[in-house]
Amino acid sequence: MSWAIAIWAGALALAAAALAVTRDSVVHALLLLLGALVALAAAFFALAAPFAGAIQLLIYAGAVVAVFVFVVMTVEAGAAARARERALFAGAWQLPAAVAALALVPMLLRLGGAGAGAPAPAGAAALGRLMFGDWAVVTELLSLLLIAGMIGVRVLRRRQKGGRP
Amino acid sequence: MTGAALLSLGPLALTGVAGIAAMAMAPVAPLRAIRGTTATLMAAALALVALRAGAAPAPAYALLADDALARLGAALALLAGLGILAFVRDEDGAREGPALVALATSGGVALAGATNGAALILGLEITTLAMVALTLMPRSAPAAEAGYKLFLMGGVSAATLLLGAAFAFAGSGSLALADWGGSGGLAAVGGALLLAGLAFKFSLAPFHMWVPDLFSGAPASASALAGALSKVATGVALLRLAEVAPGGAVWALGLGAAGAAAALLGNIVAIRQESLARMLGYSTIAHSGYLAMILAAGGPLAGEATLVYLAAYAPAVVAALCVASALGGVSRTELRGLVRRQPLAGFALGLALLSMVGLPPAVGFIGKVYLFSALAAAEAWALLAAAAVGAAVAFYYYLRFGIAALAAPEGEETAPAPALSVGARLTLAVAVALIVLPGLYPEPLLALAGAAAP
Repeated sequence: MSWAIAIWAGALALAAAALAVTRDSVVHALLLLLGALVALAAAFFALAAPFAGAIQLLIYAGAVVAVFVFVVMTVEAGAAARARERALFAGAWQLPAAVAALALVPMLLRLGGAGAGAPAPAGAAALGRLMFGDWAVVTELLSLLLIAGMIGVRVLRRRQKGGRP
Repeated sequence: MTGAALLSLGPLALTGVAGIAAMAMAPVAPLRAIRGTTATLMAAALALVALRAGAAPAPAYALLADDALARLGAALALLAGLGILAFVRDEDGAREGPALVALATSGGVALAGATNGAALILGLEITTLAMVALTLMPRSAPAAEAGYKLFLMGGVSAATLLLGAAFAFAGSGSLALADWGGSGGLAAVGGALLLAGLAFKFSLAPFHMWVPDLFSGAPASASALAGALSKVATGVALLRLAEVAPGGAVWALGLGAAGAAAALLGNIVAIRQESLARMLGYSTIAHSGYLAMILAAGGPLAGEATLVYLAAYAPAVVAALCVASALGGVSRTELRGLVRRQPLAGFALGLALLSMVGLPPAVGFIGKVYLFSALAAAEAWALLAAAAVGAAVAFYYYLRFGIAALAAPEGEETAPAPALSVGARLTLAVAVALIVLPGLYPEPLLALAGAAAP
């Protein structure tokens, strides 16, 4: 039963991703990307990997999308900018598409083969112990890095607008 | 985590809090208040470092060391940060400058103690990103050029560093810097990539292209972040890495070649510069080159010499850029008579240039003595020759600027006396003290550096 849900969720993720990369509006693309990431998380849950699903939700659907939203908020995304970028990146889709196709090859080759054996289980408790134990200071440093980046975005935005914040 | 371990993280925490407080105050408070709050918190961090000078290292925390080297590095980074804070300006009403300086300082403090690849890269990136933002704050075209160059090349160097760390991790199975010394293909590629990334941050040739633009186009505070704060912190990190020399022969050979190239190129191009800021930009490349050569040569004196040289160079460059900031984009001829118009600025600039040349009684003399002794002790004759040629060339252009600042004005007084704020005066006074006192009585500095050298 659960594998059927996983297949449905996976198909949904694929469809949302395909729609996301073909949308014109960056906001629509972002919403579809969010949908794809949540569907992927659902597939993880259905495959009895709740930890991977939770991480998928927290990091990708949470943090990564939040960063994208932040970028969309701070950069100009009008029709003129869209036309300019379309001209600038006219053939640029070919490279990521080629990389994705190359990455697909080994996965397809392994499709029928046996799995490589389960990796050592990485539990939420172990990760939490790392993040709030030995690596706590590094996590804090990461937050300082994000703050520096955020101020940088504000400064850039102010330059673009040419006015006071 | 015990109390002692928490206390050892105090300076880093206080500096980070200073950055966050300054950011929160930026939209509402006047610049003076923001600057005062930031300076108070950072001074408290410096006091904490000083108070713990004799304390036993806290029980080893996995990713940040609490040894004498980390403390000396943190103290130098905080001193540089406090000095830079004095000449941060508001640009068109934007007051994020102090926040960025405090954040860069927190990156420097982390870098001084980094014993792990993750802490190393985060410390470097915090400093670089804060530097980019500070560079882009004025809405001028040169600032934009400098900022985007730094941003793009900084991104490439960050990617290079991450790839290098990944290779080093693949080769050693550990992120601890102490484990990165292994031999083999993975370690060699990792070492080369790490070296390339660090050479960019340390402004070594051929990764130096962003430096002159930064010094001439960016606010002086951003140049000082690159010239003093980032240099001290990256220098300490390089010292830790040089202990293990990731990649073995690749590391020493590459670092030595990049250092010699930087020392020669920086000094030779600096001859032709007429603008004070650009001259300082090329000369900072040369000073990085000297430091890299000490680290590449190794030998018994390398650690001590690196630290003495860093401690001698940082106050000189902060003082010179503080004066450059007060004067605006000034050329050599416009410097004439500065000591009459503004005695403190003229005197401090002259002394800073004297220290960069390496003449007594400035502390730069001690730094140069250590540079040559370390290279001779390591029997690195080729590097010694490159350093000697570079230092000899440097005499010419430093003294040209120094004499202009100290000479009598030609004809009538033209330029008005530059206004110095209280903070700038304090910074210049402290910098003069840090240049002259260890120059006349170097024993305490040498003892500190000797105790901190790994």
